[in-house]
Amino acid sequence: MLNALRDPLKYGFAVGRIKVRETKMLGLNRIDRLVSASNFADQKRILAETDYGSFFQEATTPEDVEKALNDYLAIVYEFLEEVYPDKQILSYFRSRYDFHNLKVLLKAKYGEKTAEQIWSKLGMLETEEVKKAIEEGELEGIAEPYRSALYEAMERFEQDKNSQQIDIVLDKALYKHLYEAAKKQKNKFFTGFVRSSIDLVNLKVFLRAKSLNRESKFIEDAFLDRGFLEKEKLVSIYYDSLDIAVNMLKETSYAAIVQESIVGQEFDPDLFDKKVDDFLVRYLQPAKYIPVGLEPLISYIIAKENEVKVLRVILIGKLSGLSAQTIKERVRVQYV
Amino acid sequence: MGETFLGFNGYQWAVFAASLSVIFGGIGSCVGIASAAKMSAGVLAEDPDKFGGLLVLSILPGTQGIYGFITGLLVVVFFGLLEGDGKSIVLAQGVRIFLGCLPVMIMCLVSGIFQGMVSTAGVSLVAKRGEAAGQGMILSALVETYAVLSLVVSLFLIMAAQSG
Repeated sequence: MLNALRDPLKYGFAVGRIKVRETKMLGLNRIDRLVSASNFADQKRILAETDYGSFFQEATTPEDVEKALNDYLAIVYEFLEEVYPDKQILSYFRSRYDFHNLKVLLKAKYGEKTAEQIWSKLGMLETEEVKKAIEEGELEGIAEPYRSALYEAMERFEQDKNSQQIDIVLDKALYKHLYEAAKKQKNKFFTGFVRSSIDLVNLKVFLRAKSLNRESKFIEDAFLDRGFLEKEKLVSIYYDSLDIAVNMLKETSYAAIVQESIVGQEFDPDLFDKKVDDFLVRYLQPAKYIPVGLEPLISYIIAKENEVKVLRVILIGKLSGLSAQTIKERVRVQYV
Repeated sequence: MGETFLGFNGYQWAVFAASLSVIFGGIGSCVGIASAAKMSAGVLAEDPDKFGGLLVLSILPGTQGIYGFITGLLVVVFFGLLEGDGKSIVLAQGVRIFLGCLPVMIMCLVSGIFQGMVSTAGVSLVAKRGEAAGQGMILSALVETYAVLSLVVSLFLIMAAQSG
């Protein structure tokens, strides 16, 4: 009851703004048109009707598309910074980019090549400063929780010389940070969202490790705590067939994701990622019917990021000559 | 001073009744309007054309404050609180006035807040579909009914208290 009194006063303005912005999202109709457009120039014409238009005027290559989408997302975050009453929610979402950046930078320091790029504008850390600090090993100037995560990752890497340790340590730090940030908001919907995301990361690690025939110790090591799934249960069925895993997951909402991302007997990580995004967007859908509160704010961020992902698939797919049918299969579920 | 009940004499009970009617009705309306208006401001920042519908939605929870005001004012006028020392109001009458004002006090407080919630939902509806403003208003007005009913009963009870 108290929340019902507080929420409109705390979130009303921000929710009012994003509810209007939500109506300007791409929508199924435009997505369909984008998918069936005959070429990239046609797609640009369709995008010109939306607020994406100005970002794509000069774009011709996949790199341009990436850049335009990142610039667009940066503007979205700028807007969110302006309207959201509680900066903590945003710092929660932005820290994901920071941890991602740290991963890329650390790997670069150790001479690992990665295809992934830095999200310079989306994180909160100053990328140039952090880059310098990491190269020189002087981490004093970096804020928590990043600093201790970096120390641990570097230490683990020095021992093993295995870049996977960097991923594991930073992922663990990221999800611990996210969970704590969500818990502070005392919002079931939000914590549920984070815990489900943790489960889905765990499941991905589980299935990937399985398809690569790794030792079960690997998933024990990489397992993220604080999700709904229990570590022991997953580890105990690690060497069993995939059917058993699917069966065990029947009581959760993840069984379908796992089942559908196994093609033949092979696990398809890309398909899994798509199913995960679909699942999370579906998780957010009830927020559409909450008139005011934290839920619509969170949903908007995820919905917007998802929209950018969808656009990336469609535009780059078209640029690289994929058929409309193939692109359609890869497109994710939409929030609006 | 005459007889007292819980430390108040008849005149003081009447003043108490008038004040609380205005205060509780006012609180209900303030909370209701604030929640609807704050969200309306957000919507207007993006889409100023929706002002008409949003104004009505935001103003609807305001009536409870007016009902509280009417009740308070009637008590002042009917029982001559402005002139005299109020000796004319005996204890029994003062308590009856207070009890008569209770429907407005409680119902305007509660319905004002809840109407604010429905109006806020209406604002969210208008943000999505501008043409739905009328529907949002009707839904919000449904809550209004009970504030009106409480006002009617309070007025009758006050008149009854006046006629002795």
